[in-house]
Amino acid sequence: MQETKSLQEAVEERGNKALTSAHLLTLKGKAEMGLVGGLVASIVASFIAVAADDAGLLVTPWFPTVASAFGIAGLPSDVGLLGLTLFVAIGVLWGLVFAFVFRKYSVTEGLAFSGVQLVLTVALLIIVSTPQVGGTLLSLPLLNSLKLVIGLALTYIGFGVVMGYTGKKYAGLP
Amino acid sequence: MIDPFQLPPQRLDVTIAAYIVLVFVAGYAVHWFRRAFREPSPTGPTPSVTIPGDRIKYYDVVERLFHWTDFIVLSLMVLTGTAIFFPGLLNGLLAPFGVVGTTAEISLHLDLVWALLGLIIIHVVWDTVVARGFWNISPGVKDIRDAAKRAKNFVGASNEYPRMAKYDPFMKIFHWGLTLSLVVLGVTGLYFWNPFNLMPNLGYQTESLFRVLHDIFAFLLVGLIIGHIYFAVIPENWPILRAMVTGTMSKDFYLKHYDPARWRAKQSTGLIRKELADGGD
Repeated sequence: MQETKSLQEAVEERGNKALTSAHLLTLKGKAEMGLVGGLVASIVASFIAVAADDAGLLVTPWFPTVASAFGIAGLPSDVGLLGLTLFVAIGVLWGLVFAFVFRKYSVTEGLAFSGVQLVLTVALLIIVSTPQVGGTLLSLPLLNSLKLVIGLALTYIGFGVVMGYTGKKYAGLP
Repeated sequence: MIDPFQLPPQRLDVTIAAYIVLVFVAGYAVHWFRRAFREPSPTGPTPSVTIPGDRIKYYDVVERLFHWTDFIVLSLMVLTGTAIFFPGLLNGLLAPFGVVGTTAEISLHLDLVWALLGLIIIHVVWDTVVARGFWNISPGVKDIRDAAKRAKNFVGASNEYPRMAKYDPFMKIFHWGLTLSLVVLGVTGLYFWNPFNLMPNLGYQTESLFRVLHDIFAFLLVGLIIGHIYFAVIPENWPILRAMVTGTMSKDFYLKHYDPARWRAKQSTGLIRKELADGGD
């Protein structure tokens, strides 16, 4: 049986710049990468969110804020758990978006994806008011808004780095 | 005369709890110092097996999704459990989840029980019925021999270092140690929780015993999890850690560390477009 060449060799041999890591994955490969990569990236992003929250960069408490942004109310601990569940579920959806939309998987692409996530989340917080934020992003004092955006940026950077690295490894590239 | 039923049930002494965790940490520290100076390589000739492709399948997608979801749930259970045992200690870590005070910690701890139960059912059904991987993790006599050889190698009494099946003896000890801990924690925890008042009343002595057992196995679980994370992040095990994300590992790593007679890996298929990997269109 013919030995399959390494994927890196295949990319190099073809000399085709249009052939990227995303082309190497099948639909099943992309779906798996989106699901697992999104889950793992969400875990890393959650750790960063907890650290950022403790450092006063995010709105405290962060995970109930996520749930409140979707209109969920109730006991703080229950809302917190639902917020975490939403955070991870949205992360998995983001992972699938990255897997199917991006043409190339690398840490750089992952960071670009972080930027898109940040812009969309900031836009959401400008429109939606939550009790934890105490209004929209624009109604907060400038310093508090900046802190929140920095906290979000750090969280999404963690997400994007993991997502990009996972995609690259999934495609079998070194 | 003191009425024992008026007394709060006994809990594990904090010093003993600290010792349990410290014993585990000391063991991992010894391992790290030992392996920092001498990393063993499996002895014997490289097995000659033909597996097409350059990557082999290690974990399927359900196993990986289970593992990482379980990681989230167990992390939060350990955090809330530790916070209940040491009030105020982990306030900073739990505040982002909206958890403040013992009542909220217990509430979240109990909510997570359902998630863990669901995950365990999925894990057991998938790995025994669908993936049929039970025999990969079940312990056998050969594991005892392997553990003895590895222990002799570790202390420098032998150069022999056996190739492993899919899981080595210490991975199996972790898996079954985790299972035992979760069973004891589940049974004892069920009594304190007493959902719908279904549990019979426990006497003072029995409740104290259950609480102490719950605490002991909780800290054993913490020790095991610290070890699991330690062994996952040391560089020589990165290929296995990566396999927990991508599902595959390189054929070279497999042939170097594993015994195909005990675990015959299969080529990873369906994820990569083969025609591109083969250099075609």
